[in-house]
Amino acid sequence: MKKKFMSILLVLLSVILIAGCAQGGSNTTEKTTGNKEAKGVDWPTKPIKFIVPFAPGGGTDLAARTLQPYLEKELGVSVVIENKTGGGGWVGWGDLATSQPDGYTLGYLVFPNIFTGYLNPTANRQETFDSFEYLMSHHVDSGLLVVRGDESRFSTIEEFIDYAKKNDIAGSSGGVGSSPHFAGVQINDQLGTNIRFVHGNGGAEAIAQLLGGHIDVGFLDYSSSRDLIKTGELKVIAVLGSDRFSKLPDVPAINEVFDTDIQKLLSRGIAAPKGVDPAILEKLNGALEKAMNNPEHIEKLAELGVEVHGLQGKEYIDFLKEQEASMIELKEVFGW
Amino acid sequence: MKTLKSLGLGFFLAVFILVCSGIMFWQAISMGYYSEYGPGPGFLPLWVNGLLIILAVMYLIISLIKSDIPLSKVFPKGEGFINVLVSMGAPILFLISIPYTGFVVASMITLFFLFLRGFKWYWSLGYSVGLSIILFMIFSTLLRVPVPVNVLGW
Amino acid sequence: MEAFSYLLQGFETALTWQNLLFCGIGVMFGMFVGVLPGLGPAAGTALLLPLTFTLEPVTAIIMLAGIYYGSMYGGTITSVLINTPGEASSVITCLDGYPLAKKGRAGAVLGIAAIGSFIGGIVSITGLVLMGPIIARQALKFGPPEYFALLVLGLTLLVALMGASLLKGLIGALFGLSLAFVGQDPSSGFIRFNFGETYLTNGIEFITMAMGLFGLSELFFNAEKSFREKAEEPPKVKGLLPNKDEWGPSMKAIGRGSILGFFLGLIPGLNSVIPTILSYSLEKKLSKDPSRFGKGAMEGVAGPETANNAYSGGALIPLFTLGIPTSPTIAILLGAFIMHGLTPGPTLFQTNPTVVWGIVASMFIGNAILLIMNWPLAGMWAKITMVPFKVLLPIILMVTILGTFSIRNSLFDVGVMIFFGILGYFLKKAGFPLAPIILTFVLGSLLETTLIQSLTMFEGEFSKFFTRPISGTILSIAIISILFSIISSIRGKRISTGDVEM
Repeated sequence: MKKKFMSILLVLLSVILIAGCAQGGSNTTEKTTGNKEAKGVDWPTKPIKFIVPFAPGGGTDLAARTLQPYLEKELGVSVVIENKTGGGGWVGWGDLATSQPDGYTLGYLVFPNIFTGYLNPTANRQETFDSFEYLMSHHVDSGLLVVRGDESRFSTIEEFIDYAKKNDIAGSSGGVGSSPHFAGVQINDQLGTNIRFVHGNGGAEAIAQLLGGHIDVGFLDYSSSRDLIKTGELKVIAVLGSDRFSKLPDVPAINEVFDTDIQKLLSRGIAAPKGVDPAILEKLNGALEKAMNNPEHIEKLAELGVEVHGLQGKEYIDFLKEQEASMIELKEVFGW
Repeated sequence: MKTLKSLGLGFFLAVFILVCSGIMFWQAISMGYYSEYGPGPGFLPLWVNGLLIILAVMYLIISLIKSDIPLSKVFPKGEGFINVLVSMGAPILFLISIPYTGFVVASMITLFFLFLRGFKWYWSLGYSVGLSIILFMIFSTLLRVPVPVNVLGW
Repeated sequence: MEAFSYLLQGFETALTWQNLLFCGIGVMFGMFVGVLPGLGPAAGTALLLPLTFTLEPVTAIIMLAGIYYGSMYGGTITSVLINTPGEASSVITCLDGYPLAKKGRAGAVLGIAAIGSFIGGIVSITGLVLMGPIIARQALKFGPPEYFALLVLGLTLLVALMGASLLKGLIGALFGLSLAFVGQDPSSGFIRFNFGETYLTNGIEFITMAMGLFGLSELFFNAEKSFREKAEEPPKVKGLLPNKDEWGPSMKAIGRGSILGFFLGLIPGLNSVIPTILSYSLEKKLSKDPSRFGKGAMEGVAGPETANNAYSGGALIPLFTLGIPTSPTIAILLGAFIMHGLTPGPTLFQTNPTVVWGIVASMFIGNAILLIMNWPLAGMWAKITMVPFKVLLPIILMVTILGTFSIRNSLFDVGVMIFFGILGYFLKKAGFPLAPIILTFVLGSLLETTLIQSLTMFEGEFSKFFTRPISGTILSIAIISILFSIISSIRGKRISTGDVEM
């Protein structure tokens, strides 16, 4: 009897302890609730939901969670991340588009992945580019063209392209219309290469297949491949887009070598559903700008190998429209 | 040939599976069997559902000709039957009511009917209210699951 | 033997009272989360991840690893007690664990599961220490074709296990497989069979289906007896240890499970169901009296449970040595690593030896804590079987609903679960084995993905499966085993042995 009592006590204690931890966590965020002078609208007065459409622990989730505490600080209310996964991100994005435009629901977008949702006719979606209020671009990840460290067939981007023009090679992909696939399709389209796509579940799987020699080239982001690049297991032969990458200054950018117009791998940004009160939008944009330019935040992003992008308003929309256009151009290649 | 009344559970399940696999087979035909390299989106579904149709037809024939479980033996009699119906109906009721009432009220109603199968109504009421609140605390407050709530926040 | 001195250092790190405390909290919290149907290790780790930011990196990761072990064990508890697998790897545990619990042996089942998990964990961690980096490289030889071959082998073994009615088993297996096609085609992104529903574009969630088919249908089944009448006295909980004659076979099963699980864990991205299926069929094949399986064979729990835990230990090797996460939970651990400024990968052992070995040591300790806590707790959990059904039914039902909801925060999933609950009730009445449905469903998408990936690699030539040594061998074994079961079923052996209903 005594034993039983003890064990129940043990369970209760630990539950209380955990509850205490959880409470402690939320308290600290609430405490920073400053005395925000209400400018025009009385917003925000309650926690804000932040939809992240990919699983916890992945690249997208990590980036969103990097921003979250700084955004909380600026807004003075807690920002609760809700991982709503599925449909290549569209379960979450669809939810964002249809939620109440009251400024209490925000979402984290990934481009170009989001375009595939409504450009792909089989998806049969009501949402379009105009379903969202695009607030601010968080960061751009250039993306790297990566081969095995002991690859003997090619060691520079020129040799690689040359080889891929004459031979069939297998490249990584996270599914049709995913950012690696889009990057590869652009290379095929503009340089006449023959890359086939082994559609998998994204970064980690691609790295394993690359190291095991099952595919020949990967289109990866820096954060997931950084360590293997340092040890020489993986070799970066080019950076996607037109600019070199600050962490790997010796690696050429692909558009620099060839006369091409290949886009960077992906960008991520924050959006609200269409129709939010402009006064709230203004406040939100101000808070986002401050949060992103917080030196601590910049430093944390640098650990992930990216920098704050920070486009807002019309500039941001133009930037996205341009990307969308280049995807629409390749519609036929995707089979849409 | 059997009359409609004498059809058993096996027959209905066979028909259910036949309909499911038939729809999927039919949809799979239009999906592209083979793409440039390797199978397309319709490849495996076509094969699997094709086989499933054959097996379901076999099962259908067996349950028509040889043996089947009569429907009268599927459900228990009397109180047991009501218990099963209530246990199946209560979650459906929950699903219908929660968008309007929020979690706590929907859960109270659902639990009340379930507890009522074994307790007096006043006990059932007490248990369902208490349990709903405890569960709400655990899931919503402690585990931060965003359960649907009403305008009052519960 | 440098590794061992590092490991000793690791113990020094892990045995500080602070780390011990957080390891314990992690295990407890994990168990608590794991016992709630629908919330598994992934949910548990994700929930506590934000809380760990304020902790030291080592402490934080030790706690997260603790959650991982705790919730795995929590999943076992629900499988045994209420026939509700919390995750794919515990489906097999239901097959013999639940019947044993109905006989009042819940305590013993939970005991043997804890012992098996402990040994499996220790074996795989020792493996990690001794030969981790060396093997990890070899495991990369497993590409999509080899995965495909392994999955085919798993499915053929499933057919061999199917039991009395081959027809019903096959229908179930194919039905499960075809349900796996709902959602996006892994290759082209073509959205199939979603019937216009956004939630179906990502397919049916495994836990949703498992809780419906297994847990809910069992509740409906039990609801048939009258609530008001004095229910038949539930069997007394008889001890926390297996019987004398069960020890031998169980320990052998644990030994085999450890090794099997460890090696399968090295293969990045393999489904955790495979080690449990392989272990279960191995135990059944080797058993003197295979007919006990499915009705309450202790080895049928011991083997797969051990294999599962050894698998998850082995799965840390690709994470530590190559930075490749092999399961969703491990992926969250990876996220925690990165967030705390540690990058898993070949350099981790050199750049942060104290951290790595501290975590490895904490796994020894986490497993030990789990085993020790099992003594008081298994008895307590087992008492749940004594709670009157009229109290248990509403509670389980509502917790299951909430758990299902929490997976994707979607009421649609709750509806899907209820549908499968009702379907499962009727399928069970008609004598369909439910395990093949759920297991083929779990393996279906990986099967299709790897098939398409392989054929993309082979430029469409199917014969190349047999020119690669590993995939060729495995596929040949699978084909032989199919031929064998066809021959034996023609000879009528299958019917006469009166195989178990899975």
